[in-house]
Amino acid sequence: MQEHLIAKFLDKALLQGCQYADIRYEESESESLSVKNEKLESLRHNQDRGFGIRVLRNGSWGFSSSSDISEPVMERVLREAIAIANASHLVPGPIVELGNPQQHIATLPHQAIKDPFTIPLSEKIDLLTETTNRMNIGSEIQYRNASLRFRKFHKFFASTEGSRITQERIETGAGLSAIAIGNDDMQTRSYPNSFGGDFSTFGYEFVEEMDLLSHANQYAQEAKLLLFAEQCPEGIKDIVIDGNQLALQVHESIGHPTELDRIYGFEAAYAGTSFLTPDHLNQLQVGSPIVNITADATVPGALGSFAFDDEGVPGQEIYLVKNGLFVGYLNSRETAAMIGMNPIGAMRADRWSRIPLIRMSSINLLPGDKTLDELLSGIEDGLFFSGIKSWSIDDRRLNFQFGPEIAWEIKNGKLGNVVKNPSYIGVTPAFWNSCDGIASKEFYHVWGVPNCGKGEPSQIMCVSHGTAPARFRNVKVGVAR
Amino acid sequence: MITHENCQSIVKDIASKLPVDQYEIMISGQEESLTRFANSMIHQNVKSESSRIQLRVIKNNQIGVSSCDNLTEDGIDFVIRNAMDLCFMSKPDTEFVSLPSPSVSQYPEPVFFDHSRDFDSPDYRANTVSKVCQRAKNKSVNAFGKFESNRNRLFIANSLGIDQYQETTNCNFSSQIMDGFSSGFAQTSGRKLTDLSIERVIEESLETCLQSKTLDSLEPSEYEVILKPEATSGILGMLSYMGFSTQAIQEGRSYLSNRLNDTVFSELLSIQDNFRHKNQLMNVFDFEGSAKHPVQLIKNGKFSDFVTDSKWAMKLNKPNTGHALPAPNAYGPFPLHLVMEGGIGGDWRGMVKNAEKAILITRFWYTNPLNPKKGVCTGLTRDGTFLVLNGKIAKAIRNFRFTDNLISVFNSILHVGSDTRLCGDDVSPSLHCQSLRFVSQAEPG
Repeated sequence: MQEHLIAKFLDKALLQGCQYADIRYEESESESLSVKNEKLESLRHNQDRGFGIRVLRNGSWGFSSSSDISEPVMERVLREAIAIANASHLVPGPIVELGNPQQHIATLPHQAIKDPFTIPLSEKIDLLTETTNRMNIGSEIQYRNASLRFRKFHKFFASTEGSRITQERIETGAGLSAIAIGNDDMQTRSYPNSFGGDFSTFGYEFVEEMDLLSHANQYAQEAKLLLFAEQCPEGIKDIVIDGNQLALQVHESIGHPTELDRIYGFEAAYAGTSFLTPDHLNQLQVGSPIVNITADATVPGALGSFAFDDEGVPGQEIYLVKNGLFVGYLNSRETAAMIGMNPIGAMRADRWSRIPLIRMSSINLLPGDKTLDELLSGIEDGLFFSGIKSWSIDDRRLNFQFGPEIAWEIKNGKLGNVVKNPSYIGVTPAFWNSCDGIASKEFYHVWGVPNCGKGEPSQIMCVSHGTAPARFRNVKVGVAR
Repeated sequence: MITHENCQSIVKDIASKLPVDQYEIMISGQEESLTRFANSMIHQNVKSESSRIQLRVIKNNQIGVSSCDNLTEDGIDFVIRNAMDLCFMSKPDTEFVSLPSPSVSQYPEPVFFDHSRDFDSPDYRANTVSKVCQRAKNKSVNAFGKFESNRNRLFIANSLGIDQYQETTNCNFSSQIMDGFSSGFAQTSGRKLTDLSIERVIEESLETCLQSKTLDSLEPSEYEVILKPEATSGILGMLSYMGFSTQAIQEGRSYLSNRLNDTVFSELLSIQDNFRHKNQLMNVFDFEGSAKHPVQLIKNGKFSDFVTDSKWAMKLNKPNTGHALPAPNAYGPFPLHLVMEGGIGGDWRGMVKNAEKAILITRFWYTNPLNPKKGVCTGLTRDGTFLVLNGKIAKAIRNFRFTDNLISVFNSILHVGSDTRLCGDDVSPSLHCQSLRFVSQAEPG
């Protein structure tokens, strides 16, 4: 799409009485492969392109979009966006303010060393086929899955405030899972994480470093072990949570509740609200003093990293929780102005046809100073949880229940037997205040999460979470039966 | 926007360029309009239009699938080139037999397309939203929710002669009324604007919120429950996700595996996949272009049948019921038009009158399976949870978390309501069940 055409329609928006307008044009390409039991199960290539026009008129928003890229269609889409903004004004609220203008001119290339789209398909299929072959350790492992997913973006953002930002991005993900089936039971182990594995904005080098082949046998063995393991005990226990599951804990109980659109009720009817209301800002001890959590869009290679958000605000690093105290929100230009903060660059749309919403970047629990052995050694009778199987949290992000893939008993500071169907339950501030140990940076990893759902129409966003294993005291475990 | 004629024209152009054994072309178009409101004002208002072409090619059992949203000559050439490349680079699928041949539907094609100007009018949506916001303001509470309307077009053709095209519309209006930590919810879904029960939704959501002014605590335990249709729908969705996938059933991953013709649930429970149900959205063919057929999944508690697509029909030597998902499909056939058959139990209000002690639930939130093989699932109540004592709502209570085996829950059905309605994608009635296990209660405000 030509830049001068975009500039022309931004000028038209102003001439037609809009206070503000932006246009996002995106092209993307994706490839996904999955192999099951040494057989290619799914292979797909997709290309997507389109644009969206967002206008602010009479203090109300309107948005329209199309995959048809032509001047007459742009003309119509702008007309629709303005008509929609006028309709919004029929049921008005406070006039939308955007704070200080944002004007940035930038061109940002992607960070991949090896573009995954240049790797021969045969090499990718062979890797996945051999991965599933190495999980073939016996009749109990009935389903052996391995997958790769790649996306490449080109995005151009322009606004009536003068921003002209071009960003390129590559997303790379891979993973394996072994499914063991027995009498009335099914158990799964996944590497490096559940639901497709791990994801980043690095290139194919990320897949190579993941080394699926070397881990295939171990995870198949663990799935088999789970089939014959005892049920997770029920009771109050001290627990250590592995980084992959802790990433989801951070996501659900800290990431989502710090989204400022939830505070203002914009997501109340669907995704819910939040317990972190403004009266708690700089007041509520949401975690113990060792809990430090940042929102950081600048982590190299993290799936939640970006240079500019979809309002043209630079991605930044801020504290959400500092020494256990709740200190920050994820915001948009509109909600930042409402609460009197600076925008942090957290507004993103999952594609051209959607408006940007407040989304997590990389929400990171900063590492502590313990080794994993030190975390375990402080527990007489507890559990070590790893992997993700099930999750659920209430609409204010307080009452949660998680079901990891696997747990090991901790007896006198050492890992013991595997137990199956583990679960733990808690209430967000009490849980994070019970954290008394976080592993050090040697154990720290930034996990890519490609499936964060929010908004209506539904949007699926790529975010990430840096975590190291951490210890929590007196947690209710084993409620699932 | 696509039409049947221009889709056929695209197929004609593509067919001559494909040196393959078989091919399948899917072209879809969608116009989505949605207005969201919060704090009794419109805060988000959007429209999008998109179209997509997907090509599946098969040569010597090697399969390639490519898609794009650009229906110009460039986009179509891109799709052909990529599908062919993927096909030649892939390894033969030894299980693939053939794409489906044309099947004659035994049902006349229904037409459920809302042609009215109001259907995607932002002013019409805003004026409707204005009504609920004004009613909320009159009661000193706030309105939240959405009003969405979608126009959909789907075309599927293949080299064996399938040539299917359908235009449909669907719409949904939901209202959540909030007052502090108290809330009420109701929704209405349909094919046309005239299907929507806007007034009922406004009344029910207001009534539920106003009844929830004070939220009491209650000890988590096993309780008798009365589920409004939206709550039943939440459980039905989980039951389907964990159990009704034919591939999962055949692979031993479902709670229904190896249980065909067994009585699994209460005899009061019957579930079908039926696109033709008077309340259902009418998609007359599946994503391979095969005609859909109603399938009785559960009959009086017995697991009586499952759905198929062309691959699983051949594999299991059963008729193709027309339940394919889009290619490449790693999930197998799946029922997308569930109907829980209504009973003689009236509506949830009647169930309340007949209950000695029960929990009345408006809807569930964040349900997720813990053990699909056993049907164990967790989730929370939301937007109106009440203790019923001696035939009356005694008090509103804070939201509960349940963790339970849904097969046991659906084995304990006391009454099935006659008040079925479309709740999103499925048709559900109110239900009165003997037991649901609550494990904790949400925090006080």
